[in-house]
Amino acid sequence: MADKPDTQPEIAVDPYDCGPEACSITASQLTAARVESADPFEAMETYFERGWTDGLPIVPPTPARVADMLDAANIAPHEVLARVETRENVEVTAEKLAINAVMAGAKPEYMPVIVAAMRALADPMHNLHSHTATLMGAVQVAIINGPVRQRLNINSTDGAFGPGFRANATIGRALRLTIRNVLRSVPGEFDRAAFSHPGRFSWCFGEDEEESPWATVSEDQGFARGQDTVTMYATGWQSTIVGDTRDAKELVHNIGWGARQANLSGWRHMNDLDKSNFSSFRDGRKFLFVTGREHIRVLHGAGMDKRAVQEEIYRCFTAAHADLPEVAVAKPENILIACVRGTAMYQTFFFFPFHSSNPITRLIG
Amino acid sequence: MAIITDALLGAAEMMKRVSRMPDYPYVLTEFPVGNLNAEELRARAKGLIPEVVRLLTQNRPQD
Repeated sequence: MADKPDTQPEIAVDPYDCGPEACSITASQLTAARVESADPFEAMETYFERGWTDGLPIVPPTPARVADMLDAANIAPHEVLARVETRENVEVTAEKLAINAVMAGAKPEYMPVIVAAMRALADPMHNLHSHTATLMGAVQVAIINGPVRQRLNINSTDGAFGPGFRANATIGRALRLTIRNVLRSVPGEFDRAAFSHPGRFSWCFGEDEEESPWATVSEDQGFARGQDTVTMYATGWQSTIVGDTRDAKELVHNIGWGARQANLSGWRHMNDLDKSNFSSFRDGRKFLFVTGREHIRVLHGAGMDKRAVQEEIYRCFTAAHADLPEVAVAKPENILIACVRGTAMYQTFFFFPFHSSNPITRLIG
Repeated sequence: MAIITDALLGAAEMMKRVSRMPDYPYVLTEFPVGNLNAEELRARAKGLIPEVVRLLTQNRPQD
């Protein structure tokens, strides 16, 4: 019965009971049911068989490990971090989040980031129910700002989108396992993604604040430089703009028009929705660009500050065009720009925003 | 009751389970709906009316 999900929404959080080491006060407060196994490998197989993994092996969440995770975030097991009203008020408690964080392979010191990210996901304007159930297979991306990147080795430099970095890999995976195991976004159940996406294993990266001359995503979201924050962004799909022109005007037009083309969904009902001012999400819906330092150097070197780039991309999104419909961007400030180092690659990634979601930023700790 | 497309049958069944309403009635219609024009949409709705009426009027729980 591998990969066959259980149909009970809340039993995927049972910790593997490793026995007497689970003796801390926090461990004694855990209430999740226990699954007994002879050894960790048997526990892993049990979790596979019960449909409690993303297809990769998990770390058995013993009571001691779960308690360490909670203690690191100084949070009580019963504290409710998220409640999804459209799924019969299913709740993510700190205990359930910690169980899935252990399973993901996270270190306890990552837990404050994971808690803040879960709170961001729970914001009604983020609309978690919709983008974890949609046919589109939207991805929940975590962007980290602040000194926490250095403390936890969250990669914001070369290779920040890819494998090889424990904090990036396991923070995102902890969120996705929780979305699966607690909120029941399981393929065939609430997850109806037609293709799904490899970013749904994990997608978490730091912004390279040291390489960027511009304000950070966190600052654009209303926080101060130096504060530790996580921003959750729901994206339907992504595209990339590559080019080594040294002409800033040409470059920003390539980025803006490339993204405008990538916005084109061809869905009749979505295009109508995009154009309307009716959606309550439209005003805060942001279009994310992750720009490498080589592109930023060209733009900044020509005297363009972030506001100038936002305004130019906004013009590309809204200018009259015979074939491309206008992009439903409410204002230039809704062009969100982050920096990832990307040494020697003249590249910018564009993240198409899920239609009915706003990015949400939360303080860590 | 609800009207759902067959592409989302799994999600509808899951919602019935977590809502503890295993007998919640729905009418199934063929996917897609979003790209139908107005005339096609009217025809689709018209075809579903008898089943909608039946579910709304028959086997209702006692007040």
